[in-house]
Amino acid sequence: MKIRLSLLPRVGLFSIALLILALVPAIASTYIVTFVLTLFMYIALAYSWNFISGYTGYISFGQIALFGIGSYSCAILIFKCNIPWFLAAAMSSLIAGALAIPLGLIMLRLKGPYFAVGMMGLFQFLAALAAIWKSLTNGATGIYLPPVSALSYIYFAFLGLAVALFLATWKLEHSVFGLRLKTVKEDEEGAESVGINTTFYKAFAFVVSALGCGFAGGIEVFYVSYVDPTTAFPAVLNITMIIMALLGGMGTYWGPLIGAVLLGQVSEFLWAHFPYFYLIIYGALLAFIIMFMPSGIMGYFHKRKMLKGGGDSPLPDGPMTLKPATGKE
Amino acid sequence: MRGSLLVLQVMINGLLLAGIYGVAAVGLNLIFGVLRVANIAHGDFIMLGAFIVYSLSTLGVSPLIGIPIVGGVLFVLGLLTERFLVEKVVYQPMAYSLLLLYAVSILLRNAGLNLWTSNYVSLNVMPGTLHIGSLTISEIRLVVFIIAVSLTVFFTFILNKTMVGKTIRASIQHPDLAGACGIDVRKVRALTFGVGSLLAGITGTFFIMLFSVNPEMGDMMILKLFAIVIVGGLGNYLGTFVGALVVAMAETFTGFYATTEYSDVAVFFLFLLSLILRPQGLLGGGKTT
Repeated sequence: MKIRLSLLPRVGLFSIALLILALVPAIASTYIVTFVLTLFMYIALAYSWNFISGYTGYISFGQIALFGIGSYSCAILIFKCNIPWFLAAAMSSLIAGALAIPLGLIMLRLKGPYFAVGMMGLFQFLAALAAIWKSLTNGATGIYLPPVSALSYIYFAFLGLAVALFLATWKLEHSVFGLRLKTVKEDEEGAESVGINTTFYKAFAFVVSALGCGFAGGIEVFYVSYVDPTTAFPAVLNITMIIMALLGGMGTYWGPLIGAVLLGQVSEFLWAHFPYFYLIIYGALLAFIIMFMPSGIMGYFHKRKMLKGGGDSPLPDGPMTLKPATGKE
Repeated sequence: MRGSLLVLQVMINGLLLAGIYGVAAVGLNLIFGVLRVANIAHGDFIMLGAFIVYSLSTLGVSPLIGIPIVGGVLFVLGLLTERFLVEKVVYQPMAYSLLLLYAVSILLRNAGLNLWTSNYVSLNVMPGTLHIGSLTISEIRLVVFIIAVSLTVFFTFILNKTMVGKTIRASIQHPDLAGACGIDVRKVRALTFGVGSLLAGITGTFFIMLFSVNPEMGDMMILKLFAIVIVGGLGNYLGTFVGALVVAMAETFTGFYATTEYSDVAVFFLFLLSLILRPQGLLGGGKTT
């Protein structure tokens, strides 16, 4: 069974889906709107993580650091400069993106576990820095913002962000640019030897990821109208975005969407029924995915030839060379 | 004169702390050496050790008897983790083991939070202090330091002088060749992970006797341990102690001249700096003996 869609019905379906989603705040209850907008945030973050870790294979355990940068930039812009929130969120996205250029160039020199743990360290470092840099961030007291006037603005902002990131990923998947990006995951040295500037591609993916995370952080901070080091750098969200992207299928363009939608429902259910166990279940789920379906749901379908397309493995394949990672590689 | 005495005092505290960090970092380094796997969950094994000894003490078991019990429990847990989880991905790319151990870390941390809540606890063992001139050293710190150092000496001895140590070193140097020579590399891997977890657990018991900790301590610990291992060079056994000394000194000095909040930031900064400037370690990597 192969699902083939030519471009026209695809655009049509996409527009209809978008139209239905755009109508949600007008017809649905506040509970549903809140639920769906949170889902959009998950989708946006899963795509952001997918951009760097899914396509380049550089596993980041601290992409939420950029969410935090976005959160704080937006809060400070609104609080100290009185900039309207949407502009502030857009600017905070740009700030996170701009900061991601030097950060990415530095962090991406690290490979494998160094990068993963390095990003974890960066995330903790920024959270600790936010707690002590009181003149800018107000420390642990946090910054209070005026409450949200209409939920639908937040809804549309998150919807727009999720759609933009989806389209960017779709475009990436169907371009030479994306192919070059994937070579980094497959064989970075090989890619370099055929003249691909891997540093540029990695940094680009990192910056796009930062733009997404930063924007999400900016919108979220206005939505909850409060920021302190723990809400700006939420460890749970950090875990959630990774598991979502992996569940759906890392390095695929439908994967993060599927993962986020499925896990968003599951989260809601677990919250309600097992509030204390839900992160334990997440941990077990993550272990299960890695052990039994490392290429996620999309990979599962690709393997059974139920979908068109190459179905390349989301995680880099092949036997691992048993060479000590000296960092010089 | 008073100033230099104070500095000496802080340095002694740093040295005592370094002895403890060294034990956990050796465990992390050993696991990396044999399995080529960066154990992200190492900090959570430390947490588990700390809280098992805490639970035992609430049941009336003395912490000093608790230490070997924790060692045994963590050894078995490490063995099982390796055999049933890590072993399956050990020949896969690094991303698999990283994410898998991240999952283990999430599991352990939240199991810890469920069992012991996020409150900070500590065990008060031997509150006395020793006075040498005008220097004061807390007794428990000294005892813990002595246990830590003897444990390290013991493991260095095993690694260098016994047959088990030889098989482990052989597996580090060339796993394929070691396998060809009749060494059961799978067994060595499980054993190493067990020993690494044992060392982590015992470090945990030290921590809960010296500081207040909560089940989220693993977060902070793993970064410190990576900083240590990276400063010393991954796979470099001796360098680990230099790394432990550097990190412990940085932590105690900033903690002394500023506040503990700053000491966290200083450790993170050191961690990032060491990663960026010398990912191969201050002393160079690769030497395992």
